[in-house]
Amino acid sequence: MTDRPTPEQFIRIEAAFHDALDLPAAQRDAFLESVLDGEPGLCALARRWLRAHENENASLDRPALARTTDAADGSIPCGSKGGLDAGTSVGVWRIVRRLARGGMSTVYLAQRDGPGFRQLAALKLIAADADARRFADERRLLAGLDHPGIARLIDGGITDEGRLWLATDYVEGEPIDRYCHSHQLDIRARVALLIEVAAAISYAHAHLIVHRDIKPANILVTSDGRARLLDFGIAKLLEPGTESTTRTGTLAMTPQYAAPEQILGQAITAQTDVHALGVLACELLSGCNPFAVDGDSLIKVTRAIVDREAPPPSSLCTDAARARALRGDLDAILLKALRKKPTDRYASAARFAEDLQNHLAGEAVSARRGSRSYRLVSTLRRHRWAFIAASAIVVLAAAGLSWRLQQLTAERDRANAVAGFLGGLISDLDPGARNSEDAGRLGLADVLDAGRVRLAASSLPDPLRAQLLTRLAEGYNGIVAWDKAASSARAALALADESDTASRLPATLALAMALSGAERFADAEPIYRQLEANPDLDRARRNQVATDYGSMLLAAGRLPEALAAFDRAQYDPVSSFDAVQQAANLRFRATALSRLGRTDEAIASSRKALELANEYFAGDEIQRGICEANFAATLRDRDPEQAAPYYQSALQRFHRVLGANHPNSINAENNYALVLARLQRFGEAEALLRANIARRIERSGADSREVGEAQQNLAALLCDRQRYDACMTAAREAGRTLASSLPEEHYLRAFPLLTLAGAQLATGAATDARRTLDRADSILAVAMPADALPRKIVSARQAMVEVALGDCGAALDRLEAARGALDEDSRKRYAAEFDRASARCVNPSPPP
Amino acid sequence: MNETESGFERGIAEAGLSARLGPEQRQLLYAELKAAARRQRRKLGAPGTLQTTAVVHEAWLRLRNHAEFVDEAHFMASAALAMRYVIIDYIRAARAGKRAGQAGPNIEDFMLVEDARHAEVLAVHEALGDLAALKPRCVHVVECRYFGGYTDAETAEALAVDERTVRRDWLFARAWLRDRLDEMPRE
Repeated sequence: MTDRPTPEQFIRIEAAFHDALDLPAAQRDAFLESVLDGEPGLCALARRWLRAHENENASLDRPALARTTDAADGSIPCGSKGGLDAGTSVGVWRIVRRLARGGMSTVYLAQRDGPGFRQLAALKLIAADADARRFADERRLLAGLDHPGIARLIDGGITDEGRLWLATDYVEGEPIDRYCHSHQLDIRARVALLIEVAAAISYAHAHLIVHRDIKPANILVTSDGRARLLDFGIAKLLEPGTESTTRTGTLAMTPQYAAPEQILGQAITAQTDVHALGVLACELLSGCNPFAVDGDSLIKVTRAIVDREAPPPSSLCTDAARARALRGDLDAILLKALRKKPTDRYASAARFAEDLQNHLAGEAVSARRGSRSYRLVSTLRRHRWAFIAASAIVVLAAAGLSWRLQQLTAERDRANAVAGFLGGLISDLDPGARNSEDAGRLGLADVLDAGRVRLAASSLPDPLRAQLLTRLAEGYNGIVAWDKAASSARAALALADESDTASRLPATLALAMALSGAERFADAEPIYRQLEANPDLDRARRNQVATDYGSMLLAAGRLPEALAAFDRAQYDPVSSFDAVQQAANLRFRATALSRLGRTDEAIASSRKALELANEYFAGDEIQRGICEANFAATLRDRDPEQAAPYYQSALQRFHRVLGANHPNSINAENNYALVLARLQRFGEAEALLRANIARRIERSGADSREVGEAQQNLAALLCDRQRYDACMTAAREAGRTLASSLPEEHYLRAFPLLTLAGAQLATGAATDARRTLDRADSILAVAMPADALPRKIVSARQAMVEVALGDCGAALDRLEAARGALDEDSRKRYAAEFDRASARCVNPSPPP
Repeated sequence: MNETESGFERGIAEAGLSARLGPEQRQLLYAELKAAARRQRRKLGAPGTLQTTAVVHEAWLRLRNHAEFVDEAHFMASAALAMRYVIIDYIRAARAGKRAGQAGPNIEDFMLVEDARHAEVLAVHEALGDLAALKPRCVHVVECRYFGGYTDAETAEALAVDERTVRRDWLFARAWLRDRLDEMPRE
């Protein structure tokens, strides 16, 4: 017989078998006979396997360890077909109908009639043996739960067959996930619902009961929109024994919502529920399970839970608007709930709820501690009024009274957070303007004002008041409130003892910065000079003074001096400690170099700053954005195409963290527009610049230097587009604005003149152009050596003017010389102008 | 017990896994699966399929720090094979106990495999020897699906083939086994 076919024969039979299966049953035999024609042995074998296939009763589909009896149900039979018939009595309850069937239990609607009342309950029949005494204990504990968010346990017992049952309030509602979907709840409403759930869980935790099986099916939302939890503590009842070997429970809970410690059989705590809350929140808010895997392999899911860090929920969203809403606070909150180590999660469901609440209220969430700018805003927002009191604690501690701080452990976190703010970090940025509506900015100013008022009225000792006033000054500097900063710093200096250099120095630096910020350079400079002459300063302070002084000189337009000051700062091979300051120094330096036309050096300097940022403070979005923007700025004229993405990235970071109206965002937007212009994307550039001018006017007032700079950029853009009339109008406007905001000899005031002269030249007004250029050159000559790029451009334009006025002799030579003296970038940039000018001499014609 | 473990060894060799699985790892895997199976079975009534993967899964969790098992497919294929021998071991011990007049398997082994399925499971195990001569891959598919309780997707992953192949092989293996089982004398 061919019971053992050869390998070749087998291959043919197997192929025939599979092909036959694709056919309707009635045609299979005929098919086999046709393909295995003349080989009756093989045909018979194939037919036998086909018959066996048709006879298969699916028992082999069930794994060896599966049960045959009622295997699909999984519950131990109890009554007909594993269930209780309607009308069956369980305790005082009568079964009405089955509501749901799960892996280990079946839930019935049960009813109880008494004199004058009818009570409904969800009766859960547990398909397992259990320790009756332990059950009684648990029941007592569960019966103590009385909370509007929890379905109350009302009865329980053991059936005649030895099965446990529990009766709870019958809740008519929809599982929370379905409810959110069917009612199309927005993110805020979902968060509010989650807070309710977490509050109920927190209540249970206070009664020492951990749910262990939080999932959408166990949370029903009633028609009035209230969430109620079912099955509290049931999961524990379903776990046999308490000895460690049997606690390794993958089965008692639903794998998708399990915490790592449940899978690994480790201790179950309140944080186990926190993890499940995190998973639930992630599903409700992002629409996806954080540990979703391809397919539904149990092994993969559980492995993902044990080994894979949850991704930021926002990254799971398919909907961009939703992703935006989750980014930031909610991502941070959910990720904290989903940490692998229980102790890394929220300490309790209450804390989780609190953070969600903070998010809804627009307050700081604890999950985001560590993000510096965030902490500043958050601390201030949260402790608006407690701020001064808390800082007093810090100062007391610093004064050697740290025992007091230890007594106040509860206050310590807050105190530390405030200390972080007070540490001067704030002077670097303006986190208050994080919200575009300026709400945050007002909040910060309010806090500082309130602090000042309360401090004035306080009876603290002078040295403490001096220190606090210094912090206030630093805070005011941070929000660009220069006058208040200066007066606070002066008040601090008046209070501080002459010999108390430790507190005088920061106050002095704050004062000098406030004066520079207010462009009172003449007042600020002597202070810096004095500080530089002070031999007692340590290296870090010296570096700070040099950098601050340099940036003042930069703002004052005294570029070579600024460069010299920046170079006086000396950094060791970088430590992360002063990487931020060194990066600032390098950035300012790059700006000065760039304005002097020393492009290669500028690019090198700003590139180094960016490298420092990426290496030492990559988590600091603001600092990174600043460094990116600076790098892009130095690169802009050389290689606009390469610069554009850096601006874009910086702009995105600023928008994300600081909002659109923050100075950083405004500057990056302006510069991005300039790059777009260089890339010939004029329409976008012009629209962006005009919007930018409006933002600047709103923020700094119509007469400010910031507005003048932006107007000048617009003028240059219009000239590039050969819209000369509009260009001249804009340039004159820029000139007026800068004249009202800058000292007479400030080099920036020459730029609108340069632009204006270009337009005049192009429109044939060469005599006007000559006058304009002379004025520009007299201004530039104060701030720059003759070989600085702007001055070279002036002399090139002057030559163009002479040529345009008919001098094809000496002026033409000068023109060519000026062209040769320019760097390559500028030669390219002004090539058309040069060509236009010299063309007049080759082929003289009346000016257009 | 020793007999079965050597049966497992033989299975390892047949499955071509020996080169990738040292003797210590084999022992460890076998012991862990057996222990895990007992623990899982002592838990209260969950559906069988979930239970089976849970056994393998629990063993994986315990063995996951052994470098030899970092390859997931390798582990799963080995685990399915080991499960086959854990199950056969249990059934033989249970039957021997019965013959010796004991009341039943001790509480530790309570209901690892339902009594009613003992004959079928043993028959499948024995028939696989012949199936191996026809088509070895079908044997691995049976081990994964029937003894390991894996889904088609998990089986495909363990054997590094696509799911379609798994379904095809299973259709044939199942028919072949049914034919063979129906021919066997009933006990």
